[in-house]
Amino acid sequence: MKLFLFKIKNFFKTFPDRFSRTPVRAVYDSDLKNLIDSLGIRNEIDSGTYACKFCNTPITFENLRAIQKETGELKFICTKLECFSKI
Amino acid sequence: MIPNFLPIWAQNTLMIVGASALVLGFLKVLFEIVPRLGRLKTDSWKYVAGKWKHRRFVKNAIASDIETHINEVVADLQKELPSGWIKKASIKWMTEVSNNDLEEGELILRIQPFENQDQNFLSGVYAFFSKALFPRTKEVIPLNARKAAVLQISHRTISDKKPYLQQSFEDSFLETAVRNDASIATYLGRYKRLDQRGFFTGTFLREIHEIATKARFQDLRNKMNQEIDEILSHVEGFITQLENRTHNIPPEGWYRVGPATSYAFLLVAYPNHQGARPYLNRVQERSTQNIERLYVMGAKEQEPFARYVISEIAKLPRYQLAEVFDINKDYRGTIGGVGALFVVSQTAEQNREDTEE
Repeated sequence: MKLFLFKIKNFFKTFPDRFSRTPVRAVYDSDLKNLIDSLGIRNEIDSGTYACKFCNTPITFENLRAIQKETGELKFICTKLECFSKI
Repeated sequence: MIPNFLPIWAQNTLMIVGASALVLGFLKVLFEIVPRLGRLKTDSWKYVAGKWKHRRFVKNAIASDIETHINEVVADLQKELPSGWIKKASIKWMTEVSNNDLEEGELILRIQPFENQDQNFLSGVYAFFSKALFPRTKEVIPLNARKAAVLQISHRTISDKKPYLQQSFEDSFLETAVRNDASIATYLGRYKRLDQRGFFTGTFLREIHEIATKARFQDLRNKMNQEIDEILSHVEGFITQLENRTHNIPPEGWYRVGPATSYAFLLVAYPNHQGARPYLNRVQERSTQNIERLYVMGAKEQEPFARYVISEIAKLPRYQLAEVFDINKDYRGTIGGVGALFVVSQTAEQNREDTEE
């Protein structure tokens, strides 16, 4: 009986989880330039000012895999798998 | 409900719109609740995207495909991992963003067109589990131990659910991680051993998370690697004794008293003529030893009996049922099984302290 009540309680407790989602933010390949424009860093990307946070390779539109906010600043991760797997 | 002053054609249109909205709403709720139906949604989007090739349709098809794949995996893991750890994934497309819109640590993942969908999926799974595992304790748990846990869960789920991607995952994520940090390979081997007996998600992750929660603002935080190692060694020793079919596992093999938590195992299998009584006696023993957390691990073959024992333990005043969870494999290595976590009831603990005073 106690287990049954626990299950009922747990069902209602976890019911909202069935509908809530963990958002994975993503940018589609062809929207990337637009997104970079909205961040106001187009010139920096074009000139290779930013570097991959792990390997220090200059970031361009071709080798950008992910953008991460860290201690209030934007950090960039390049397409190298060893860098992405460090996130 | 529909105003009579409207012409017949307008009434009919309103009726069709209303009925369509109801049907679509119902389908949406159904897709949300039953992850396997997500495939139907994905196939529909893929069909539409293939037919019209509009960028919006293609994006919806890609997102739906990744979400469906991840959520099929998540649906099973939700019953296995600590309650509230993982929720279903939802791809949120960004076309514009300002720095202020992003939360600390948040990631925006670049998704390639459909031709690279396998890579998109692997990246999505890895990013998702990196975000979902160890909520609120990420910073406390050492990076190599945490990353190995993410890799272990990702690897197991990909091998089970998407075996055609296993090789690709091993060659890319696993190989790279191990090459960069040799200690990850050691952790992976140890985690796998625990996972084959249901103790990885069943016990280890829950214990580590609990310790990390308690150690957050304590000196113990600086000794998390040592604590993780000791728990691993204890569970590994316990498994070795089980594998050797040692019927006389020394008493200290069944429990561990650490600096932040204490836990004990109770393996439930054979229903004998005394029913649940021997198990309840064992629980009473743990209670007198002041063990705070009790993991009841039920064998798959005797699952109904294990559930009965769990319900009987739940009647005892000292321990409170915190979670009932599925296990990937039971302690005999058979797929399936049930587990439960009991924690010391605060009320019972208070009463005991009052009596002692």
